[in-house]
Amino acid sequence: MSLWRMEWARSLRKRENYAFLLTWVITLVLLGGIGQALPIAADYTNISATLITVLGLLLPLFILLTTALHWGQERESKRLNLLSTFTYPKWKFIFIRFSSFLVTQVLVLLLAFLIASLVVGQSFTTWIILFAYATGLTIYATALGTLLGLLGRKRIRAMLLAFLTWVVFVLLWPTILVTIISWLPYGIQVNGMIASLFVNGFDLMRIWASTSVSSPDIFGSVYLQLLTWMNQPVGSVVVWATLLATSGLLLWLASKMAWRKTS
Amino acid sequence: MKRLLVSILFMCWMPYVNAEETRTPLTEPIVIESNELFDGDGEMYTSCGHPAFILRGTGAVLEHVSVQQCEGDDVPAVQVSGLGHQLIDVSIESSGTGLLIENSYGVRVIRTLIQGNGQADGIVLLNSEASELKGVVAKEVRDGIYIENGSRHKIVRPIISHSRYGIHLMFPTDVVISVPELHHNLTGAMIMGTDRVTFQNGNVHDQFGGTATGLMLYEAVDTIIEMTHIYGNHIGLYAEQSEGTILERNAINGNDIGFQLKQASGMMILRNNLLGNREPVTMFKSSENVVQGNVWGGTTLDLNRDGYSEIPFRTDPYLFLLTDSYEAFELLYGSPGLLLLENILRSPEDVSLTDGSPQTDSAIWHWNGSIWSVGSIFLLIIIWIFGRKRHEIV
Repeated sequence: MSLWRMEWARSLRKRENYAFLLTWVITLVLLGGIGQALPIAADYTNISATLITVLGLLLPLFILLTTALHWGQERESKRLNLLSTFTYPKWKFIFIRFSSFLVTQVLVLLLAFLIASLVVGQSFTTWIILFAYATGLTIYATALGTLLGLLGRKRIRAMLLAFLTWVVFVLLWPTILVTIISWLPYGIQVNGMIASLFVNGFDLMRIWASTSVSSPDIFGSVYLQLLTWMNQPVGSVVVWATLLATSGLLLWLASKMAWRKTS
Repeated sequence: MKRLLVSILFMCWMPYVNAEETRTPLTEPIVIESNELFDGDGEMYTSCGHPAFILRGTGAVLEHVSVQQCEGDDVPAVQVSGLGHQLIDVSIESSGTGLLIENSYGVRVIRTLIQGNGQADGIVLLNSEASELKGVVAKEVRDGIYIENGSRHKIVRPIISHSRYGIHLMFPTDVVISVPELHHNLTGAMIMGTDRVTFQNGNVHDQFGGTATGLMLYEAVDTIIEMTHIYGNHIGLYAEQSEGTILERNAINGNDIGFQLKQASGMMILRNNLLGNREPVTMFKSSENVVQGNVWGGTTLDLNRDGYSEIPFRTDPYLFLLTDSYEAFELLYGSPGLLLLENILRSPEDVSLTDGSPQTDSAIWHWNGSIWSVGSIFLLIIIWIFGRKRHEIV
């Protein structure tokens, strides 16, 4: 606990947290203000949709770069070698870093959401879902960034890897899907798209959040059954369990990587 | 005290006394001939296997009646043919068609309530002319109002919900629909093969199901849709192979897709408010449309402060093209990477839809805070400050 407390204090002292806080507050307040100008307040508007898109675009980039840079620096400065002399399991050390960074980011996000909610009138449920979405993205991006940082060895390589991953998983993901899925026979294209969701945690969270904040018919009739299920408690549990399991797997791989390289 | 108790008891008892109504079973239809008036005084008639009322000839009037059909009946509850009939304050609980009007002229239906079981239509007008439907309320029917052929119909203040189509027009001409309230249907109004239909001052909202469309135009010519609020649907307005449609001063907000246009040409899209839709418009093969002065929620820049932006709003058919060919790609709506894809695969000008001078929109902020939220902010800041303090292992 003492080590966790130390790591958390270190994480909270980082200056990029202020930049993150400012970015999220500005994004939420600006987009929320446009939403309030609507003549009719509908439950689901493009404000929540745009927030989902904007958070889905920026948050993975910020978190991936930050965590990858951090772990790349640890490797480059040989600090990991030093830490390997402690009689402390590597996976535990990585998990402590992961969880302390995560708690810091959740705190920053929560603060940004609370500040934005002072002037933006979204429903409480919408705020909760958007916050859960942002938290889910942070969990997945942190785990992925940890692995990439340890893979990169040096800061610059870790950063490039993180950026490349963001380009593939976020920016080019629709292009990749369009290219691959359109080659599949028509009958299994929907199944292919559903399977792809469980490959990319960012996309899985986007679909879950869009459906939760709106309704299961949001992506047309072909996905009605899947999204109705996803909207139920059991569906949400499966989605989150998948996300946490994938993140856990990425962290486990990262701890293996750290062990292999530093010993 | 005793008087007070008696009064309270009497007041509580009153509604039950009034709720009692006589039921008259009909063994055969009541036929109302030319110039006859049938006033049911609120009485309820039950019918099985045949219509409860048949109006024929000229100028028959049916008023203040309730009709209840037997379960599984597939005949209309009330059947009308002829000229100038009137139905006033008629209430129908139907399992077949509620009210069938065929080969008629100038029939007036005023304040009619139809409760169905989702199997048959509420009001059906077949090959009729100049009918007037005022204040029709239909719930849980197949189509609230179904009109096939005919012309010059006028529908005022219909309220239709929990049905397949609220209003379903098949090939009539010169129809005016005013102040409709269409909600929780699969599609608010389906306008197909029509000529000169006007839809105005309506509220079309919260349709449900995978398609959940507010208004659907298919092969409709010269349709006018104006001053209507369309919100909370999957697609606000869908137009396919429709020409000469005028969409003016509508508020189309909070839908997944505001407008979806497919092979719709010669349209005039003027001064509509399309804020708050996930995608304001998706279109495909829709050309030669006049688009001006709408609020899209895109980037605007008003240099001369006339309320109109100097930056045009341009929509691209890419997304619609994609999902039209491959339905599976609908899952990509709202994907951050799609923004990039749309810009890379930019379509030529002649197949895109451009609003040369969109209206500017402004953001509004107002205080929504509470002691709880302000307190929570301070608490988080305190946690942050204390959490930052150096903590070394000793």
